Amino acid sequence: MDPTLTAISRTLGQDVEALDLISQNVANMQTPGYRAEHLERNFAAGLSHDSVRLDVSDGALKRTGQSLDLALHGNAFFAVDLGGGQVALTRAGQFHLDAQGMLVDAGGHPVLGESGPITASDRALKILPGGDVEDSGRTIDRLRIIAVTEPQKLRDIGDGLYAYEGAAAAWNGALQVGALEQANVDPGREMVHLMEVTRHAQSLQHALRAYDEAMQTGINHLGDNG
Amino acid sequence: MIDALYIAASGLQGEQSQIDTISNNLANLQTPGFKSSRVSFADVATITPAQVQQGVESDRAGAGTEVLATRPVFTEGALTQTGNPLDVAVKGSGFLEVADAAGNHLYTRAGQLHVDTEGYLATVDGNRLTDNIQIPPDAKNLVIDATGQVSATLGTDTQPTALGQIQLAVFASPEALQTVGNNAFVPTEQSGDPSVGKPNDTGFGSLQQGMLEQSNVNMVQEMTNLVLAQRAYQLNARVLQAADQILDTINNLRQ
Repeated sequence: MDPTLTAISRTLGQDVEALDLISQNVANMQTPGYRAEHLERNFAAGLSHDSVRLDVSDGALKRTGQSLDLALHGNAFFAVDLGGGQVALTRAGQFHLDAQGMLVDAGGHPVLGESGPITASDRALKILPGGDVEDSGRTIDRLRIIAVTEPQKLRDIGDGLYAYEGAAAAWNGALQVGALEQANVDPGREMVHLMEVTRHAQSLQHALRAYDEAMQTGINHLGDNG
Repeated sequence: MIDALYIAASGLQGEQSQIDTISNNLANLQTPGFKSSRVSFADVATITPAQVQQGVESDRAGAGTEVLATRPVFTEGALTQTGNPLDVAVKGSGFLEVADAAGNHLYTRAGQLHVDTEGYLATVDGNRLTDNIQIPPDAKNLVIDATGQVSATLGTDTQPTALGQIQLAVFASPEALQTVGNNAFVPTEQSGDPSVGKPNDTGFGSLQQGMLEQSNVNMVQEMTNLVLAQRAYQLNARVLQAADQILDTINNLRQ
């Protein structure tokens, strides 16, 4: 195909991809702990592949007053068990106890402490700001909280969970008990991107038309004698 | 095809269920013993954990949002004094166990009791307490103490007579209880079976006679959620429009 047409169709494809991401961010505006995703344009790689970058800034905290709603700051993540030895990270600290008294996340995955899943004896589980877990006044474990040092290696696997293979540091921050971290989607930024994408697609349309007209003249009318 | 259309649609549906939940919560602002619900959202990804382990990279955006569950929130509502000796409030985590006409066991926090036609203690919708406590017609000075002991002075007696014991039920995971209307809940597989015990024992909460638990709906929180839900709905609708506009642009690339 003609290089100009190739460039236009590829760029249009990128606009559609950008729109998908905006859509995903906006749809998850109310998902606790959701990290916004942005396209990182990579001109050096010759427009071939744009990478998706996770925005790891903190979301707003919403007070809920529930003792098992936990929120983290900075680069810290909770660890949950996916079964089969796979561990995922999450910022969505909307935890509860299941029928066996085990601390689980909103999707039912066991939340991990330093020594594995945490089970309460009689519904009296309490989490302290330092991450210690108290069961009926007795410290039984400490939440496994991982400080992510290579956020570009986080992979979104749905249900508010992230797979992570990169390096991790020890965490010694404080967590907020009785609060939930909201998504860090910035509606203003998404709206501006949305305008940018729609207008960009329109300008591509004009570019294509101009090129089409030039070809029309070039092929059909060049050499016409009157 | 443009995924954005479907993703935005999932956002619209999610906000719709958020608004439905808020409106149910607000409608029950004055319902004694009502527990508000909240919607848990989660994002949907296009790759699975297993694929990530195999080193598969996703080159697509996610697939929108989903509602994981709408669960009741069991924070305690404020207790208000009613002075009615048949009103009991449960302070702490515990449910009154009642049986409906078909004999199914239901669990409720709404302790507006009354004496039914056969003299049994029952809730407002006529479901008897499973403890089957019968109050004789000549009973006076009915007392329900914090441990659930029901006693009254009968006839011309001077000393109160014990009439029965109200028990409370607790669940391993009350958030997983299913609401069945009339302020009642039924256990599910996820909530675990009820464990029944005496009020005031550890973990069961105590009874307060002459008090009613109000709904635990927090108006300010619900209003904030409503504003957010409405704006999020609008934004999702905007994205849908933009996706439509881009499709239009693509359709008219050459005119």
